Order: sequence, then structure tokens, then C-alpha cells
Amino acid sequence: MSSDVLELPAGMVEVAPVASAEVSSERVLLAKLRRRDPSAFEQLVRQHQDRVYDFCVRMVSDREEAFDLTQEIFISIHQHVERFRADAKLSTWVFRIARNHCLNRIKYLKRRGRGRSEDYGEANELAITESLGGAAGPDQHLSRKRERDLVHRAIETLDDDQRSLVILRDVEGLSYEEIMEITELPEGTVKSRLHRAREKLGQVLAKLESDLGSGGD
Amino acid sequence: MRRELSKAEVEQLFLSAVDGEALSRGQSDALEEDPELKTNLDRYLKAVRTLKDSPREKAPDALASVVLRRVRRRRGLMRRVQWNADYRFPVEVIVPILLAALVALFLMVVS
Repeated sequence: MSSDVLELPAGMVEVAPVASAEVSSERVLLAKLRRRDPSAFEQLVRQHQDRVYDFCVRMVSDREEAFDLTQEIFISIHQHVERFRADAKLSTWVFRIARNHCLNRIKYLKRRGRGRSEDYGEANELAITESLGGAAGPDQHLSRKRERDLVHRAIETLDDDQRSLVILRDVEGLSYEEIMEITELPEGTVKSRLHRAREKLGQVLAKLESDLGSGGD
Repeated sequence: MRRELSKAEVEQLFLSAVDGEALSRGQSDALEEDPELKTNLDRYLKAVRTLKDSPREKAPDALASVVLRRVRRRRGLMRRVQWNADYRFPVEVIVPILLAALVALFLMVVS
């Protein structure tokens, strides 16, 4: 009697389908989102809020603006979920919406003058940290804060486009293909802009670090 | 004689180094022969590493509940708008009929 189980040819090894499980769970979530299932939307928000918020803070360098922006981004996702073609990852689409909102907000803030809170100032930083239930001991907190400030100040020197590329690639770890889908730029352009951004960041970070070092003498 | 790499070649070299790709013979030789290039690459790699290792911002605890509350409010508003659209007085039908009736009446009176 023949077996119903398909035998693999010699030399082939059965691999656990991790990637396909992730894809199918994303499809299930997307189907629920399209049916306006409230629990699905809540799941989406909780899964992506940290990444989206972090992205917004790095783009606009202002936590209050980032808080508002993140809300607008998720509301926009909720409104337009039918438009998502499902030929890309859901997270890629989320970042695309986030990037567009951030770029629009930056243009608006430049026209208006500045964001509502001080530009990453110490007073605001402390207030926000305290309100968020702020963290470790003073030394660790100071060193993490200094490192974060350094990176933010360096990123601020980049133009909006370069800033988003560097964040998407080097902070979020997205692939070039995903970045091409988010930015709608060809691969060569993504790579050359990314390269110029990193070169500039390298120079700026080196200068900031040497200024900090000489300031301590 | 040391051959200087073009801008495009330097770009390719630096991107490959960050992406962990194996360098070609020419690229490795260029790095060995040009200390300034090596310094620039080290600074470039350090910048990328600093970014990767920089502390991430965590979304405030209130964010999710604020978003969900706004979405619920918006859903309620959309439902009210839809109800008004479904059951409202069809003015775009009644007004032309009334206008037509007035014009007809006027023509009858004039004639």
C-alpha cells in the first residue's frame, strides 16, 4: 500500500517554515483589520508603537511632536487599511506612512518656526523622563542620555531624506528592498544617499565627541 | 604606483564593509595602501555602530489607549454621519421638483 506522506528526494532536508508562519499570521491580522476588528487594530498598535515612536522621535527630534505624530500615523493606518495591497510586509507599509507623516510634519514645523517643546533641551528631557516613570541610577542614566543626545544631535545635521534612510537602515535594520518600497527610490539612489549620510554622520560624531572630550579638560 | 579609488568605488567599498560583504582584492589592497582611506572607513563604521547601539525610545504607556480612544470616537462619528446620509430629507430631489413646479405655475399664469 502506498503511503500518503510525500517523501523528499535524497539530500533534501525539511526546514521548519518560520518565515511562512510569520507571513500567514500577518495575513490573518490584515484580514481582521479589513473587517474592522477592534482587537486586531489594538494588536497592530501594540506591536508597532515602540518602533514608530522611536522613528518619529529621531525624525523630528521632539518627543511631544513625536507623540502626536505617532497617533496621527496609527489613525491614518486605521483609515486606509483597505488601500494596503498586501504585496509587501505590513511593517513596511506602516513605516511608509510614518515616513510620509514625519516629512510633512517637518516641513510644517520649518514653516512655523519650531516644535512645541524645546529642541531636545535638558529641562524638557528631564520632565518627559520623569513623566514616563524614568529609570536607572544617575550614572547609567547620564551616560545613556549623553549617548542618545549625541546621536540625536548628529542625526539632526542630516537633511530629511538622508535622516530617514539612515534611521530605516541602521537603526531599524530594514533591507534595501524594504527601503526602496518605503521611499519609492531606486536601489542606486538609496545606497548613494545612505552613503553620503553616513559619511556626514561620521564627521559630525567625531567632531561632537572631540568637543565633549576637550570640554572635559 | 598606488591607484586612487574613484568616488563610486569608495562608496561601494564602504557599503560592502558595513553590509559585511567580502571585499575584493582591489578593495583590500586600496585599504592597505591608503591610511587616510582606512581612517575614513573606521570613522564610517563607528558612526554606523553608534547608531545601531544607540538607546531606543519606548512609546509612552498612554499612547496605545489614546489612539484606541480616538479611533473609537471616530467610528462613532462616522456611524452618525452615515445615519444622517441614509435617513436625511432628500433635498436634491425635492428642491428641483419644487423649482419645476414653480416654473410651470409661472408659465401657466403668464400664458
